[in-house]
Order: sequence, then structure tokens, then C-alpha cells
Amino acid sequence: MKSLRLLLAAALVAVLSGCGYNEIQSRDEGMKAAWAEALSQYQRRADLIPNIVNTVKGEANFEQETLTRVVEARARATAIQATPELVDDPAALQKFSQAQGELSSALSRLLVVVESYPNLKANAGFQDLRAQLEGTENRIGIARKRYIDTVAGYNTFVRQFPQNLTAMIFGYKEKAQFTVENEAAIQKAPAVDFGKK
Amino acid sequence: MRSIAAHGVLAVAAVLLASASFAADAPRQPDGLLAVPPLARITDYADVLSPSDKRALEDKLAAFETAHGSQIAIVVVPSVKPEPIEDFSNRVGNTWKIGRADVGDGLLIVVAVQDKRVRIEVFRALEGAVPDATAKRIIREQIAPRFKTNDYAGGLNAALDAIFKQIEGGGLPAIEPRAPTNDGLEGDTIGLLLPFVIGGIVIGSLLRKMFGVPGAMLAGGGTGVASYSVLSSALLGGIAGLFVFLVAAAMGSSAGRAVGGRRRGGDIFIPGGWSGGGGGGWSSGGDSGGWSSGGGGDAAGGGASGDW
Repeated sequence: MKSLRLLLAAALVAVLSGCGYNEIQSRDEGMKAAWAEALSQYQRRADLIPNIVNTVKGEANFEQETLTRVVEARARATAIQATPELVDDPAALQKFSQAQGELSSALSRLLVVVESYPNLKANAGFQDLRAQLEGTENRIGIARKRYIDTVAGYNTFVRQFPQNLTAMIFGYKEKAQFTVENEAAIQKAPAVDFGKK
Repeated sequence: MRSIAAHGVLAVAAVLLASASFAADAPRQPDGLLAVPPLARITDYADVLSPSDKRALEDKLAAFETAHGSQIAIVVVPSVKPEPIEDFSNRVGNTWKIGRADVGDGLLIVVAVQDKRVRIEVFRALEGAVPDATAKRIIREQIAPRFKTNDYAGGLNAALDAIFKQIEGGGLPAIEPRAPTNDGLEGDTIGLLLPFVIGGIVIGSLLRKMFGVPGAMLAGGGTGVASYSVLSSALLGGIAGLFVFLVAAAMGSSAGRAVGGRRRGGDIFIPGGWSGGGGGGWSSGGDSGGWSSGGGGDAAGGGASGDW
């Protein structure tokens, strides 16, 4: 009896390892880490915006409409609870991504408008904030790309045999991907080259 | 097959054409993007650095690495188009992974001469020492004015001085004397291997009872294949398989009678199992003359780009 139980336990270990259970675990963790990184970069951008807005406000008669758009877009983007669970819900992820994309485009418009305010452009504080914003946008791009890659790997893995059986038994579903449509929207937003004079 | 060959010929022809029409261009991939150049402290495809400038910069970087550990590299190309400089420098950064293995303190300066774009790619471990705004300021104040007068060596030199100062004040771990570490098998590898070995021995002893020595062979082979497929290390798979085979084969004669309950576990035999570990580290090793990457760097998008 005892040896039978031992045998069963050993067989279970062998079956689980052979069916990619461990691999699913590590890919799942990797994907969560990639998502957390993307979220923290989005957060970093959201934290930067108030400083930028305040600096820009200091410039007399700065075009109000552009500024309002940034503030509103930020409010909309941060209103969506950015939780780790978002990756399990394609519709919510889509909304999140959309809101962040609108914020990107509002910000790039702001940077274009700034071009016609030489004082602001030469302001050292603003230059630093702008460098931080550019760096954050770049980090967001890379974090998104890494998330897309890890999710693609994960989804392919759990769909393959025999891992699909393991995934089915333990309830691992495919994760939400940044979709092509909103990818296009995002791609369009930072069309402005920040660095260009 | 043929289309691949044809593509290959086309690509070679394109590269030949490209190298014939431009005096200097960096090698490109078939998709038109720049290929990641071979690892080097200084890469200059645009021929803007004289041999002596190059050597001076190289020595400067080598001396800094010896003193502080951080690995810095400079890549100068004629143009990164059609790619943004950020994408190219990120590709190079994450292919080279410069920076100490346990620290990840790498930094990359990419210059695209015809595009008049420059980027300081700060790897994650240095993002605190060289924040984006500082990188931007170095570009604006040190690099841009000198590059405008075609003084590329001077601009890079001044930028390096500023970057060195930042890194020295950045509170990075001091350099450790590089002792040849003897990292045989790591703990988690053994942890992963253990279930296979135990399971293999349990199943193997039964198979041995049923089929004799071929049964033990089967168990050994199965264990080997299973551990190989999960750990993707042929060496570890082989060791585990051989070990299981030997134990199962040795157990055969007595294990048959053990079903009644005499304690007879494979675990008694295990301790000898991993002592012969596979040794082979991953470190790029042998830095005879050439420069080897520490392999720890992660280019996550930090740094800044600018024009001149």
C-alpha cells in the first residue's frame, strides 16, 4: 500500500513535469513580471505629468486647451484600476491601453505646442522634465514590447499539446494581448519625434 | 530551399552593392535594419575617429572598467535609418548585455553621424547614477556643441568624463577581485532534477523486477529524456538517466522481495548523485586580448537621445 502511494506520487511528479506544469508556472511568473514592469512605467508617467503641467502653467498665456486635454487624459487613464488581473480580461486591457494611448497623444501634442514658446523651451526645469518624459515614453514602449513577447510565448505554450491539457486541468487560460487595433492607435500617437527641434 | 538560397544570394548582393556605393556603412540585416555589430568597446563604422582617438577612448574605457567595474561601449554608425536610434541602441544593448554579471552596470553611447542623432542608453543598474535628465544634459552640453564642429572624439571624451563622474558618485558596488568561481550545479537545478531521479528509481525498480536489466535501462532512458526535455541540458539528463539506470539495475535482485514492506528507498543512494556535477560555467571566459561582456546588463529604455 505504502509503496503504491509512493509510486503514485512519483508518477504524478513525472507527469506534471512532463506536461509542462513547471514551465507554465515560470512563464506565468515571467508574464506577470513583464506586466508589472509595464504598469510601473505607466505609473511613472502619470506621476510626472503634474510637474509638467505646473511648469507649463507658469508660462504666461500658454494655450489652455492643450493643457486641459493632458490633464483630462491623465485623469481618464488613472481612473482605470491598473491591477495585475487586467491580463486575464482582454476587454479591460483594451480599455486601459486605449486610455494610456490617448494620454500619449495628448502629451505629444503638448510637446509640439511647447515648440512655439521659446522661454519655456529654454527653461532648465522644463528641459529636465521633458527628458524624463521622453525616457518614460521609451521605457513604456520597451515594457510593452516585452509584455507582448512574453504573452505571445505563454499563449503559444499553453495552446500546445500536451500543455493544453495541463493548462485546462489547472485553469490556466490564455492571457490578454495588446491587440492590433489599439496597437495601431498607440503607434499613431507618438508620431511626433520629441527630439526634433 | 531554393527561395532561401535565392534570398541569401540577393542579400549578399545587396550587402555588396551597399558597401560599394557608400564608403562606409554598417552591416545591415536582410530586413534593412542595422545588424548588431560584434561586441567591442569602440565601434566606428562612420570613420569619424582617428586610430589614435580610438585607442585613447578604448584605454579610457578599459581603465574605468578596471577601476569601477562598469562596462561602457561606444557605437558610431553613419545612419540608423529606417529605425529610430532608440530601437537600434536597445537592440545592441540587449544583445551585448554589457555590465557586470551581478550588477548589470552597462552604458552605451550610440552616434548616428548622418542622422545627427546621438543616444546615451543607460542600462537599468545605472539609471539611478545617470538619470534621463542628466543624460540629456550631457548630450546638450558636452556632446552637441563639439559634434557641431565635427569634433567627435572631443565630444565623446567630454561625455565620458561627465558620465564617469556620475557613476563614481552613484553608489554602485565596488569592484570585486574576479576569482574564478567554481559554480558546479546550482541548488535549484538539483531541486528540479530530484523528482525525476526519485521517480525514475521507484519506477525503475519495478520495471527491473518485471523486465530485468532492460527494464532498468528503460527507466534510465526515460529519466534521461524527461529531465533533458525539462531542463534542456543534455549533460544533466544524461547524468540523471545513467544514475537511475545504475541504481535500478543494482536494486533489481533484492527489490523484488521488498514489496512486502521492508524499507527500500532509492533515496539512500542519492547522495553520490550530483557530486560529479557538470562544471561548465556560462561565463564568456577567456578574455585573451578581446573584451568580454559581463552579461548582466538590461537595457530597459533608460537614458536620453538628442540632436546636434
